[in-house]
Amino acid sequence: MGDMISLANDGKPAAGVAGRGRVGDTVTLKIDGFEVKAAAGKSILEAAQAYGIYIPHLCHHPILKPQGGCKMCSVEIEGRAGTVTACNTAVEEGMEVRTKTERTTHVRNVSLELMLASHPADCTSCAVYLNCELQNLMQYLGVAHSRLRRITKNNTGLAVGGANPLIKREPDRCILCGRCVRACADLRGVGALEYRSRDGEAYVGVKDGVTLLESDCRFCGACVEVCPTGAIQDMPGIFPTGVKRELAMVPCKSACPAHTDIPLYLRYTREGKYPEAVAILREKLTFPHSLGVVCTRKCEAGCKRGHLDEALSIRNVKRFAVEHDGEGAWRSRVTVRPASGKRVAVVGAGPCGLTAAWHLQRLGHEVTVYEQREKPGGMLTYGIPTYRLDRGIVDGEIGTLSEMGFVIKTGERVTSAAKLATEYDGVVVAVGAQAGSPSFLDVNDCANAIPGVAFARMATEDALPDMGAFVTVLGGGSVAFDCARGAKKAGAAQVRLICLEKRENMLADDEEIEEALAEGIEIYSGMNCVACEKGAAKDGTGSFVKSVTAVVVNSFAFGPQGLSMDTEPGSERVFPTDTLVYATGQRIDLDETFGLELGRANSVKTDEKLAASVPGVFAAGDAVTGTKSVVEAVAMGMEAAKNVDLWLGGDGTGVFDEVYLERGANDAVLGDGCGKRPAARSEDICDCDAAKAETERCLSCHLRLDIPKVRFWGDAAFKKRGVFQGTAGDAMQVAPGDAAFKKRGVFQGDGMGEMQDVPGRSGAMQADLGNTGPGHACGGDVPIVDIGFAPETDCPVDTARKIAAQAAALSCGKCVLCRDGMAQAAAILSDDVSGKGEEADVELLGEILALVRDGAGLLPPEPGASGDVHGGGGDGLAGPSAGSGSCRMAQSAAGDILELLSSHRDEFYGHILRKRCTKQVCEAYRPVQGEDRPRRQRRGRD
Amino acid sequence: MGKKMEADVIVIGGGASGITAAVAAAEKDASVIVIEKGQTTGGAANMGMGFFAVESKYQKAQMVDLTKEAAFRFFMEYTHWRVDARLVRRYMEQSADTIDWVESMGLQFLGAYKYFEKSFPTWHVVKTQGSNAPAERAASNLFRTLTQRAEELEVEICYNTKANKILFEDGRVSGVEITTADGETQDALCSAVIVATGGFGDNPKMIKDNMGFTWGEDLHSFRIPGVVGDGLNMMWAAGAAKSQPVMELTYTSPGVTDVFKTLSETMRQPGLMVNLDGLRFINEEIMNNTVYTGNAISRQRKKVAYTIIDDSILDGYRAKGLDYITFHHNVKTVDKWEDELKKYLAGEVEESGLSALHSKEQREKMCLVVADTLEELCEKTGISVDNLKKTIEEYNEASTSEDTRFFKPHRYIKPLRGGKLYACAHYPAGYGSLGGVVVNDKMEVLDADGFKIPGLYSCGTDACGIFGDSYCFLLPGNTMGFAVNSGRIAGYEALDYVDNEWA
Ligand SMILES: Cc1cc2nc3c(=O)[nH]c(=O)nc-3n(C[C@H](O)[C@H](O)[C@H](O)COP(=O)(O)OP(=O)(O)OC[C@H]3O[C@@H](n4cnc5c(N)ncnc54)[C@H](O)[C@@H]3O)c2cc1C
Ligand code: SF4
Ligand code: SF4
Ligand code: SF4
Ligand code: FES
Repeated sequence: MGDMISLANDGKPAAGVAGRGRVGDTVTLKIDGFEVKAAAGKSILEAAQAYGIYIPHLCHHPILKPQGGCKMCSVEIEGRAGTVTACNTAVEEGMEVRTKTERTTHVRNVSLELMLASHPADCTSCAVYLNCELQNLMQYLGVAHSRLRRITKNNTGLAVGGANPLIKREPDRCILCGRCVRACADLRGVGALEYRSRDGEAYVGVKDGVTLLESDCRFCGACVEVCPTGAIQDMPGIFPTGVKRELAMVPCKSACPAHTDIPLYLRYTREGKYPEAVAILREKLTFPHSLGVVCTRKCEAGCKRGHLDEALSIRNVKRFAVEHDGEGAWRSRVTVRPASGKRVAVVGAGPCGLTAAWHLQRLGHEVTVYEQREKPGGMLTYGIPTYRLDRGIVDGEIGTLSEMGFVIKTGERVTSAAKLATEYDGVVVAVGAQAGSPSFLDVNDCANAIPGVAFARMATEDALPDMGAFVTVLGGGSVAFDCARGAKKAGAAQVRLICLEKRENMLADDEEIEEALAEGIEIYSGMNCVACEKGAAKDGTGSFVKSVTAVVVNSFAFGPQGLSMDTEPGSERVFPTDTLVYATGQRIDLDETFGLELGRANSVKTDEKLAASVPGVFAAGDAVTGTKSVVEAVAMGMEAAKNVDLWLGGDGTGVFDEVYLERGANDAVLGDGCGKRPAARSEDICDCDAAKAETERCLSCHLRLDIPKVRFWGDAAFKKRGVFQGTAGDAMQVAPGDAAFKKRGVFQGDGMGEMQDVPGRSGAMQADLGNTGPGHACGGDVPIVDIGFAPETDCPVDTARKIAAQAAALSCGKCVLCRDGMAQAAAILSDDVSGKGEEADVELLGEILALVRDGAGLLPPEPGASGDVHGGGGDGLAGPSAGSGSCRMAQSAAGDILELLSSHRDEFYGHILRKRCTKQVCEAYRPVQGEDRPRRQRRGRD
Repeated sequence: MGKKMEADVIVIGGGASGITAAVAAAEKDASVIVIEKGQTTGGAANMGMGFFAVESKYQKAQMVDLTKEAAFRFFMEYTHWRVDARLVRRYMEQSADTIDWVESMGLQFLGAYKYFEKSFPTWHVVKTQGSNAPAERAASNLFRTLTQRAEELEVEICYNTKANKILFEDGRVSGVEITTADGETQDALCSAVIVATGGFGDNPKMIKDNMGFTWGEDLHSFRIPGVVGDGLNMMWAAGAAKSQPVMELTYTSPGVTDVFKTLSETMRQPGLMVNLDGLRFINEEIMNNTVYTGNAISRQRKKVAYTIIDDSILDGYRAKGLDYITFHHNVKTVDKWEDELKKYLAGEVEESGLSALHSKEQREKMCLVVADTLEELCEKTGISVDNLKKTIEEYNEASTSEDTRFFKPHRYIKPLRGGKLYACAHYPAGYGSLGGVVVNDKMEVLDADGFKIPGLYSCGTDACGIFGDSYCFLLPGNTMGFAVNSGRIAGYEALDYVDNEWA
């Protein structure tokens, strides 16, 4: 058999083997006549792909070890018999490979037919329609399922039963390529999936036959990513649509307005590398510490694990990491550009304004921030209650940012942006939403009716007025809750919060609501105030609120005409009120005198580049969007900085491209704890252990992006060679069944004599070849089919059927020829023994069995030779003559059947054409009772 | 922002019609870009087997007695001249040449077939590799062939790319806004756009709004993922006149038809079919014209009908096989009846992958029921028992004489003689939408005043208004036939516009 390849212990080809070259060397070979250079140790398939030559493949995936099971990549090598599988055959110096010959077409087509025999005939309801590698291959090879028996499988796919919220299974579409198994075991090091067998049928399922949820699965989605068909899919609705794939696949990052690289900082936190974690945070966040405390956690709403049990505690992990940053290694990585000579004014020292200021200063511009109040920080300082956010944190972060060198002028209210624009090269308006919307109740003249924002500010300044005993707060958002809780903490006897939304739709965070309830605040949800009773103020200047009347709201909607409600008649309730806080919306504290075009609630009108109506003036944050959140203000501050920099002649890079930690290659292997279940979410990240435990819950969604996409045959990369050139098209036109191979159809013509000898065996059906040998896809522990045949009493056709059925049952499931070929042979033969045989069966069987026996056209390897490797078991590549075919179990079974049927040809034909079984074994051919049995027997010839 | 994209013609949708249009235009030397959402060309037609032609060389060889004239007359009769006669003529005139055209690219056909007994052999079924039997999905060969041809002609096919909007300048088409595989949005410039996005079969809301069916309730049509009406919405937004879309109706038993082939095929034999009132409403002989049957079922109360058989009839099928054998399912015997029935009744449809695509209601609906008595059967199905009794009496009587009600041929009237009873519910189904924009015989898209929108073309399902109210199953292969041929027309005409009008 020529030069057999020996494998070194590490599974890599031994160095110096004739022709193959040392790993690291380059070998030159020819593929379809094109000269190709490839690194020694590469497979033929990889070498071809790199040169734009398309070789069909299905079980191969660029990131996985080859398995060599589907035979799609069969190629011929000059001077060698048969075909080899290109995915697991190494390149060799001087090799001449042909990828599109009659023979390769034949092997591919029959293998695909065999796979399709049990695959749904109907793709129309399949979610991967037009994105399916199998469908695409069907199109390329032009093969359908029509010639073969339809096989009904009972248990293909991941274990039947046990739905889970993340991975959707459609087992009938599984083609047992094993990519998911390899991805799980080899790539992730988890091994939750495996080839299994039940009722004589191989399938891919969950280890130990449990459900995915019960298994060790980490729901990283690698299996979904590599599955070529619709057999495993992501549950719809997990990943956002309409965003770049890079973001979409990492839903937390996608949901975070600043697109912080969350999985990575979770990983570093897990490893206890807090400075690294913070460096990653810092790339996108100017106020990470404050955000670690008060962020609205949009990322957590996106988190994939939220669908499984509970989202990661991302915000609290962030806080822990920031508080354990130590020296702040990120500081030395910040890029500062040389002075540009341009001057920029920022109006408003909230999170948005300060973010813009920091970045612009960094980019070399000289920035001055104008702030009307005494202290910078915006709502961080004057809005968010001190009991939620310690002012030391805010001041510290502003201090850190100020080190960049921009100037903050406090106590200076800017009255005209237009005027400012004449004094500076660029202006950023980030004035926030500082004014309360006027109340819909007629209370604007009442001294004891206070807008929410004003009330919140007074609370932060310890300047609350005397509130009396009864405080009523209108509104159901965060601000309303902050006011209500602030009032209670400041000593109000009874605080009532009235809001339009029902409890489940309230805008505030659940956490806030629960804490408020615990503090004794009464919440009247699904109600709205419709009237208020006023009295004259004691000092005679204006009036004051005495009580408000609320009704139950069944439903409401905001239309162009404002709020419309359906209220419950007779549900009026009067709330005596000493202080009324209306936190029902904020507006931007601007008017026309500011010199900019304004929109709804006086927000600054901007284009998509955040440019306002005056050239050089940009606006961002709540001033544009209305009241939102700190993280959105930060993200928009960056956007504004980028656009101002562009306006000032910068190149627009430098804001979003900051890298404070070099990314190496991700570790594809999931550690022991990663993604484990069950593991309850913990809010309280109090120490390193808690941080580790919580971050281990992350499903590492980002790792999926490292898995390359498989190229379909229409891919532009294959345009130049291979697919579209003469060779391909022409070869495709050869109807394989008609060509030379038919000659191998061992039952043809007088051709029983053509039957080839199968080495190492005599005619005995019990031929014991030991097992299939190590290194084979099956791992070498598949026993040889052992079915006795007594020529005097047994029917050869029925025995053949039994061999085929048993071989199919023994198949480890990895190779199409053995798995589906033997199942197909069994199906044909069982028709043949039950009166449903067709003439074409003879040829069909011959074609399939010869293919199985010869291992996809290859000469069968010698028993026990180390060469019958075809991937899977070891990660090495096989030598070209090492055999890429079926294992010895399949080969011997196919050989046995061929031999049996050839030497009992008349009996075989008799079953099909004359519908008789001489041995009277096959039930369908036994005479019905009462018929003259001896007479029929006499007609037999064998 | 990706590389600059510019071409004479941009085709939106690389399905049957779009890829054909691309090849046609490119063969005449146009530069062409195809924008395709998926990773494979051919769209819905990958599921098909063949397409319509008249006076092809196959038909001549098979001595098929159908001329272009006869086909045209028949077609216009069928549609009551409510459709564009010029377009129908042009399509039919070109159809035979289209067969030769794709053959010249290397495609092979098995021959011209009928879809069912009473139809004409106009369905040119594509040959698959290594097999001489017609097979589902055979037509995907056509799209490999066309795609290879397109690549040869340097058509740029952009996979995983979505078109969002047709761009105009000075009142004529100037480009398309697209979003690429990595989510980048950019403008691609061109002089003519051909829209071929395959209708809106996967958009229940558009189905409801345009055709009144509630998908999953009174309609169980195919939903090819992604066929959500992108093209129609883009064209309507660009001022295209709206035409009434229709559904290519068929009928189905959700949870049975698509999963249990033997059960389904057995219950689709031309036996007794009644409505909820227990009355016959159809000459069941036409049940293999799935359009007519779908139409008839749609007219019944709750849009449902039942076929009813009993053990005596099953025994007949066991002995002689089924009467109607469909090409694509090719179920000839009832060998698997017991096995499938057991699985079905055990609720194993739940576990099937296919069933996962059904809505919850569809999965829970038991379409096939078994009963010992007529009373039990009616109890389970809601059919009026008194009427059904009378109907069966009348039907059994007809088996000994003749069907005086609907004139069904005697061989299909199998009396119900006893044993267990089986009833199967059938609901309207369909292949997706047909039509939506008004076009002329050059596949130019027209505005509300009937004038063409310069540079805008549409073909295939989006533009398929030639069937009137019902798809014409009697000339089978017509949807793909129209797609391929209208694509070819659109390709030629778009280039003609670029050469002669635009420049
Ligand atoms: C009570 C309350 C609680 C909140 N809780 C949270 C929370 O827990 N988590 C969260 O993420 N978000 C929260 N928010 C929202 C969040 O604080 C804001 O969305 C965010 O601060 C907006 O940032 P900004 O920079 O756009 O505006 P601001 O923070 O409002 O800053 C604008 C600054 O501009 C100054 N300014 C205005 N006009 C002028 C002028 N003409 N000249 C000079 N200076 C001017 C203002 O004084 C102010 O300092 C809360 C808001 C409030 C009111
Ligand atoms: S997995 Fe692929 S081949 Fe199978 S039904 Fe789905 S689209 Fe068709
Ligand atoms: S489920 Fe696994 S074995 Fe089956 S087709 Fe998908 S990747 Fe292959
Ligand atoms: S599991 Fe981890 S990576 Fe995935 S969304 Fe949640 S936090 Fe992000
Ligand atoms: S890709 Fe090589 S055998 Fe499957």
